Amino acid sequence: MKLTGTLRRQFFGGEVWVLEADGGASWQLKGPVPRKLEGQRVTVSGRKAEAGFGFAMVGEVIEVDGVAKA
Amino acid sequence: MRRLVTLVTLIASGAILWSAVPTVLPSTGTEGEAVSVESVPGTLVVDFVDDADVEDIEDLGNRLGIELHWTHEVSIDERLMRAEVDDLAEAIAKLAGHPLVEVVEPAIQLSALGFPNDPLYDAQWNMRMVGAEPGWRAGGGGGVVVAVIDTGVSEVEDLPASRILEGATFVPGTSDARDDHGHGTHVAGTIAQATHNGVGVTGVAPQATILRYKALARQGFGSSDWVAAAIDDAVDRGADVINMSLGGGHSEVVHKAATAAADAGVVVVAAVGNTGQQGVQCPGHVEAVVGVASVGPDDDRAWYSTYGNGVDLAAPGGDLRQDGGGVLQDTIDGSGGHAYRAFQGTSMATPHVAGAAAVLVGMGVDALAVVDTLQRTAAGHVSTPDPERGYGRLDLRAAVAHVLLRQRGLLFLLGGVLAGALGWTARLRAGALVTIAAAGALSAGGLFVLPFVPGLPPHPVLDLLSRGIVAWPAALVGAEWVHFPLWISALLPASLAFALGPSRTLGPAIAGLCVGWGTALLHGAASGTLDPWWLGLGLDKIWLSLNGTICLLGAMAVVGMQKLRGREEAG
Repeated sequence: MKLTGTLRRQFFGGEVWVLEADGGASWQLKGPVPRKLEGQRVTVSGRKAEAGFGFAMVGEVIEVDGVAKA
Repeated sequence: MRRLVTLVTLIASGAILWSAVPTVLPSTGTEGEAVSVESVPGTLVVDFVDDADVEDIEDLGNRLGIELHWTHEVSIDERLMRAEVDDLAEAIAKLAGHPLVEVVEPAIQLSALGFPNDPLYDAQWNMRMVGAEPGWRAGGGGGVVVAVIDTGVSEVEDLPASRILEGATFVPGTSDARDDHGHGTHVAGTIAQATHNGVGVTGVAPQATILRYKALARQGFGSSDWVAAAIDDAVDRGADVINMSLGGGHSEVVHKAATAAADAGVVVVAAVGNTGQQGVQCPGHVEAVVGVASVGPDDDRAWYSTYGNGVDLAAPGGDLRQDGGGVLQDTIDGSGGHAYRAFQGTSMATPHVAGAAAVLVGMGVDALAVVDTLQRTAAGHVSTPDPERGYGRLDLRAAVAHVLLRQRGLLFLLGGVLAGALGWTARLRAGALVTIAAAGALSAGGLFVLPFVPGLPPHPVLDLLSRGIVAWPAALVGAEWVHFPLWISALLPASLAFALGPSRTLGPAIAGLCVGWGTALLHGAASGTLDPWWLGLGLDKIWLSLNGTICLLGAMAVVGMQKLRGREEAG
């Protein structure tokens, strides 16, 4: 799956990378994220994590394959 | 006539006390309280001028050979630092008078009347917001087990190993439920951090025991079956409260496990999420689970707090966008040490509710009533849950007051009035009348207002005295022993009546004790708060009613003996 939106760094008991996707949904990114793209519009490719639980709770979780500037 | 006036005075006093209690509750905070101080040799506090350059401060420390550290991250703006030095007088002489230094003095440790004396308590706006103080004096969750299902929990400076029980880890590659992230230890600290120990920060229920589970890996993620298994195990191990500062998409196994836990009499509390959008996460959205949303220091919904169906309560979760707005706790620092860190999130709000539940369970309230009380007494209570704040924002001060007044206060009044009426009917002399009424009130309800005496440090004796005698085993040996059938019987009061009833000195007090004891047993039968072991199928209520009645008959017998002795002496 591919999603486009704004890349945000947030803190909920630790650093959390969030994609504020076009359309309003928030996604938590699991995997390597290029820090230099913080605040920029990006396209994230990956797959939705199955029944993932976590403490960040910022949205559904994507297992990230790649993040590119949109 | 004189006896009547005495009795009316007694009853009126009881009524006045009853109605006055809410008005004498102390205000929050510790401002204005007297403190006694003692020097802590070797520790120096230095307050630099606020616009001092940080590099200049570091240079000064290096030049003088004094290793300076920030007192806390929130103290950087104030340029407040501390240092361990070999010679206090020498170090003070070096620093005093320097243009960068405003104040230099030995560190002082607040003690005695400075309550609580945890040095970072001032930064814990969250504890003042929820009114944690009366809960500390009302037992602080002593004897209560709170399961924390998280990244694990580790002992740190302010959360000793003696407060932590091993649960289990479900994360592959880990051998126990120690924390390898810091989130779980922070959460556990908000529940049970050591309080009034002169170290660090405070917790909501500092006498509670943490049962630790690791269901989230170091990266902060876990699987639904790990969470469900941890819930099941916590119930099996006798947890009274389960805290889950975690969430995810709907999971049927987690839903089922959480519901089963609540059905088993466990208070289950979970975060609702940090999406800032509608749609409470699992397990916060489960009907049997108390879903907790977050407010910031301004008591408004935190910007990130999820809202919608499933929000049952709000609690302080912090807001790092506001100065000093995070929730501060001691946790691991990732390099083998520990640090006091300010976090935000519904993860931080949830343990306030779990800690509050632990306090109420420790006071003898069952799980269903705990949830009802926390919701009913919430600040800004509404009868239909609000999507952002549920039934309102957690107010432990009000919850503790509710329990004290509705249970112990009611027993105090009933015991006092019944005992006074018995003494009045028997035409006891004024002194004996006061004694029997006071003994009846105190043995039934205890000095129930003690937890609200401002500035009083928590102490086991204080907790004991604030309970009626029948509830003493909960403070002495564990909550379950209150329900030991021979204890909640007429055995002890009847024995005392038989042995000491004829005594002119002790007789009235023994009669009052019998009335108080009987009142507590009859109240326990009527309200269902006493549940004698081994007795089911209605036998429990018969046992309590029978023994309560025997207690009252015993009191009448003692009063009769007193009358006979009085006549003998007069004759």
